[in-house]
Parts: sequence; structure tokens; C-alpha cells
Amino acid sequence: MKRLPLFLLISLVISLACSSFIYSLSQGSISVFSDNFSVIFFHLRLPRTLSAFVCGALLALSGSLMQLLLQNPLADPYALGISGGAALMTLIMMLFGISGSWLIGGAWLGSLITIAFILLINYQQRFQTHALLLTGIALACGFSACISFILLISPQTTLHNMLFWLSGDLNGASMPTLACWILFVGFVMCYWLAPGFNLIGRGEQEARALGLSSEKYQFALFLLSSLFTAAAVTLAGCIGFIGLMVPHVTRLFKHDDHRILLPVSALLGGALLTFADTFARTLFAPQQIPVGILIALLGVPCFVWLLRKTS
Amino acid sequence: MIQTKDLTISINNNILCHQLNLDIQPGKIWGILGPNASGKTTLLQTLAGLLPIKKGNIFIQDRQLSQLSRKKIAQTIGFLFQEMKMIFPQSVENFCLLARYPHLSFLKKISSHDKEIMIHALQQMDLIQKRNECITRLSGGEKRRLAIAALLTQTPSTYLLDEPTNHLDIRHQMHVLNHFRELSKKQRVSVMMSLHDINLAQSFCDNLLLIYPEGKTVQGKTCDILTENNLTRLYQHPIISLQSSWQPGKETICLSQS
Repeated sequence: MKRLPLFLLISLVISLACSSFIYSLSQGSISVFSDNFSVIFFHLRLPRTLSAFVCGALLALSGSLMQLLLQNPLADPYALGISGGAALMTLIMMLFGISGSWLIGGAWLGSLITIAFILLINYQQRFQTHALLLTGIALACGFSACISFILLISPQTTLHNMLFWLSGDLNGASMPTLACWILFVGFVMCYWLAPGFNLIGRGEQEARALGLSSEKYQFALFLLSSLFTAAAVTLAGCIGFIGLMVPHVTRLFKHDDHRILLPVSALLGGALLTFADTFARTLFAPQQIPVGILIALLGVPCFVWLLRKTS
Repeated sequence: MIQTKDLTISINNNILCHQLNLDIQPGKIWGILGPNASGKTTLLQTLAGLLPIKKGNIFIQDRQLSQLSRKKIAQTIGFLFQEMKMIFPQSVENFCLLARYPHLSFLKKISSHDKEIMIHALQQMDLIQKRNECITRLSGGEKRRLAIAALLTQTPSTYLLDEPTNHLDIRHQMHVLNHFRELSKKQRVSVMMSLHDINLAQSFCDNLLLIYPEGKTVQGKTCDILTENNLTRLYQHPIISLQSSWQPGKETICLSQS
């Protein structure tokens, strides 16, 4: 874990330097220092690398927070159905032929409506964990049914785009300015609240008995984790595995203090997605595979191995 | 330390405790006896401010409980839960240190003084050799002692214990209760605990509170309260007391076969 910064640096450098560009090099058509270099670097590669990193960090953070909120170390940010809401709204807008930055607005709206809905239902139960979880499961089921329906009725021309985006795709990423800001501000807030998060891990009643106003912290957890999820979904669609795996791996390395666990998770998640995206676009270049699929393929065996190693 | 005035506790219109007036003095150990689902846990949690007060008042050091902040309450009242959730892996040491939270100001780090308190608590609970182990690997009894060690690390002046002897073997039951008796004598802390073992209640409690199923309560000095009549009515099972040969002057309470 002490080599984490190095790991991160390597992932960024490889991602920036290596791409399907290498494929073109092998064809002998483009040289590295041509006039196209700065264009490719600043308009294609840097935004994509940054998007991958920010998206990974956001997913890992939202995963850590969601696990605390649901009191379950294997909980997923997708369990509350917020990313489902965001994805559904984005798909509806895609169906009506809307594209570009409007889609981002749609995903935001979707996740916000889902949050409001969940809060409304759970207000009277004082945000008890089981009530939140049940609402999340119900919503996720509903959203996935709606998404399947939309995929069924959508015309062939948009279907490929939709499926690609749904399975997690960073192709054609632009500079993720808004997501960067969300990550930065959200992370500062997380670090500020981390001592309280340590107590929340023991359960809401015990945290209250130790002097924490649990409801406020749970509310913060809910808002922050769903905000991170929405930002990640708008960046790259549904990439589910990082939010589940990265916090768990971080815990396996005996980090239980959230002042360390959250930064480590964010860096690890960012580095992991950057690596995965580099592979996704170079492995079968010029053919690109959605990074979400690759993450799942790479991550599952790795996760099983880590689980076996520690038990 | 803790006083209640006309405290009525109910769950779904079912009255568990009717107009209870308690006065828990420093240096005293109180025991709560009652059958299952009579409201022992609910009463303790209400006293700790974990459940809303519907009727009546609770005072801590002459200040109303509902007007104190959570942190302030946690500085004076420590609560031992009946069961402890240990979901996320953590070391025994760090688990205990978290209990220093009510004494830490914002963003202040754990000091060496806090660590000393934690190590002392782990020594008291016979867990010091397990200090670096993961909490999810402890046995049931060890988890129970860890929860008590964490509570001791919190250093409150009032301890509310919900069945502290759960999961503990006889030696540790006696050890834990002896430790709390020593604390109440030396540091004048007050202790209130729910128990199911009448003999333990008899040997360790100064005062007792009996909660009858219909919400009536009886309280007083242990020797006055522990009568065959009271207990038989409380548990709705015939109970007799026997003179033990190895402890003259003290009675052992037994169930009679009916």
C-alpha cells in the first residue's frame, strides 16, 4: 500500500503515453512528435485519462460511503438504485435523440429524483438501514425493468450506442471539469466527516451511544455517495465493480480508519480504472471494448483471490 | 446521577413502565429484573437518550436529558448493548480507541493518555494479548469482553449495561461484575444493569428494580426486594430460597419444580 502513489503515477503515464496510438505507430503512419501530437494529447488522451481516473475515484468513494450507510461491506453503490435512476433518465433522453451535455443534465435529474424519492419514503423510519436497503432493492428492480423495456422499443440505430454506454464506456470523453470539482469538494467533505464515519461503521445506535448525531452523518453519507454515483454515471455509464471491490481491498490491507481508507480507496479506484481503460482501448485496437466489461473480467478473479488469501 | 420523574415508557400503546421515579446515586449499583419482553432494554435505552421520551422527564446531574447534546450525554453515560454488531474488520485496539470519541474535540488526534486508558481497559478485560487481532475473529465471550473494554475506555460516570454477563463463562461473569463493583466503590460511578441471574443480582446489586409484565414496578434495597413472593410473581414460576452451607447468612435462590 505504501507503493500506491507509484502505482498511480505508472497508471497515469501508461494511459497518457500508450494507446491505440501505438497501433498506429506500428503501422508506420504517425510519428510521435508530429503536428498532431499536441492535438491528440490535449484533446483526446488527457481528457480520457482524467475521466477514467476521476470516474474510478468517484466510484470507489461512493462505494465506501454506501457500504457504511448500508452497514454491509459488500454493498454496492448501485444497490440503492441511484445509478439506475440516472441511467434510465439518460436512456430516455437518448431515445428522444438528445445527445451531448444534455444527457449529463438528464442523468443528474434522474439521480436527484431517485434520492428525493428514497428520502421521502424513509423519512418516517428515521433512515433505518433495512428500510433504506429495501427501498433501494425495489427501485433498482423497477429501473432495470424500465431500462430493459426502453432497450426493447428503441430503434436499431440508437440501440448499439445505448448498450455500449450502459456497459461502461469512456470512448469520446471530454474534459471532466464538473466531475473534477465534485470529486475535489466531495473529498474534502468526506475527509472532514471521516472521524464520524469511523463510528457509523458500528451501527447507528452504537454511534449515537458514543455521542454522534447519527442521522446527520447518515444523511451526509447518502447525499455524498449518491452525488458521486451520479457524477460517475454521467462520465462513463454503469461501471459497477469498482465501488464494490476497491473499498473491500483497501480494508483487506488493514486500513480501518476512514481518514486513511477514503483517500486510499479514491486513489486506488482511480488508478485501477485508468489501467483498465488503457487496456480496453489498446488490447484489440482499433476495436474498443467498454471498460465496464473489462473491469468485471479483470476484477472478479482478483477479488476472489484476495478473499481466499485473507481467510 | 440519573433521575427520572413520572417516566412512562410504552411501545405501540403497550405500557412497559408506568410513572417510574428513579434516583440513581453515585457509587451505587442497580439491577433490573424482569421477564423477557418486560421492557428492561427499552428502559435502559430511554435512560441513555437513545429512544425518545414520550411521557415524563429524565435528569442527568440536574439537567434535562433532552436538552443535552449527544456528545455531552456520551461523556457521562456509557451504554453496553445486548448484542454488538461487528461488520467491518478492525483491530481490537482501534475498536477500543473509537470509544474515546466523546472526549475528543474536533479533528483532535488520539493522545498517549487515551492510549493508556485503552491499554488499561484491555488489561482489565484480559484481552491485552489480542490487541492486534481482528475483531471479527474473536469468540463470543471475547467479543463481549471487548465491548466492555471499549465501554471502560469511554470512561463515563454512569454505566448502563444491558445483560453484561451474556456469553461470558462463570469466571469472567464474576470478574466483570467485580470490576464494576470496584469502580463504583473507588471512582463513585453509578451502574445500572439488567440481569437474568438472580443470584448475581443478589451478590452485586445495592438496589433492585423489578419490572412486572403489566408495567408495574417495584424498587428498593436488594435484601428487601428479593423475596420469594416478589420473584414468584415476577417470573410467574415458583421460586424458593435456600440457606447455603458454604455461605452462611446468604440465601441461594432456586427454581422449584412445579
